[in-house]
Amino acid sequence: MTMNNLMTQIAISISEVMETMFYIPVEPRDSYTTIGKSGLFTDRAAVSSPYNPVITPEKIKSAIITFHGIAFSGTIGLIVPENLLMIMTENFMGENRQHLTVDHLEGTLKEALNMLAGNTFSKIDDKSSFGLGVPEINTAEVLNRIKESGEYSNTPLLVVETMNGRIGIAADVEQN
Amino acid sequence: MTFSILLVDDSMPMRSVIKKAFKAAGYSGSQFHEAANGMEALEKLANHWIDIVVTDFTMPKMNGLEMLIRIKQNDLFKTIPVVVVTTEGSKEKIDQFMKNGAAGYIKKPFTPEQIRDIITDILGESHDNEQSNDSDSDFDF
Repeated sequence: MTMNNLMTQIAISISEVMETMFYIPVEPRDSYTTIGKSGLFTDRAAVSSPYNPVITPEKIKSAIITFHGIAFSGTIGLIVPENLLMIMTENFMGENRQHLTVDHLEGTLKEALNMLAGNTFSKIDDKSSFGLGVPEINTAEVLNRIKESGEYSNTPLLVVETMNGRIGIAADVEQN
Repeated sequence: MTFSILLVDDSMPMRSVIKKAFKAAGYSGSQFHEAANGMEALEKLANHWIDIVVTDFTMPKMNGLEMLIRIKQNDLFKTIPVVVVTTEGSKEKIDQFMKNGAAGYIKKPFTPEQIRDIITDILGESHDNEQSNDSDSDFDF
């Protein structure tokens, strides 16, 4: 499996998940970039919204999930601007934003990532099972550390456009 | 006819979405119980009458498969239908659930129509909201 193939399946899956469960049409970019080149944590943010044009780790929400397949293993990260996550949660739960809590937002983000990963891997290989972990939220502290250290600057990132901001999907994969 | 439905998922938003799908499918008069993992679900089963269990697979403490196996090993619970709603879409995983007695399987992401179809197959038509059963028209979540 190549990174191109993985990112293609991720692009198809994020479209299905966002449109079926969140009623948000999306348009994945044709090619993926890297976290470092995307400007994720700069003014040229790959992940931004009309309300938060300058992105800082405090303005985005992110979750990660691990997976273990026969041929490859790794981590997928989903990065969403807060305002877009609010809209996703409203649509997902059918609740007005004044009734939403941090738990609702984080639960929605984790569920979106879980569906994205499960859907992606069943497209890559629908015969064997991928061991998916439990999604975890990246705190602002973790995002700040990633930003400062540049540790994941070469990690591939797919940028997905929506009417309410951009989603980033990072894939850190190792062949077994 | 109304039912007592146990929703098992560690994601509160997902339990909420599945509950909405049931209501949209005409089961709005049903009684809903919720559990965040398999252990909690077994406790609910021991203390409440439950007609159907709808469960996630990946959960902390006890996952959906282990819970399914325990339900089917228990003489009091083994006739309760268990429907698995999960992102795990591989044939291997589906076979594992079905071999262990799952009554049905729904893959995420799902539409409310998919929930309605499988639950109607298992429980029969609900009559607590006749209007929603009139046609195959799309649901409004």
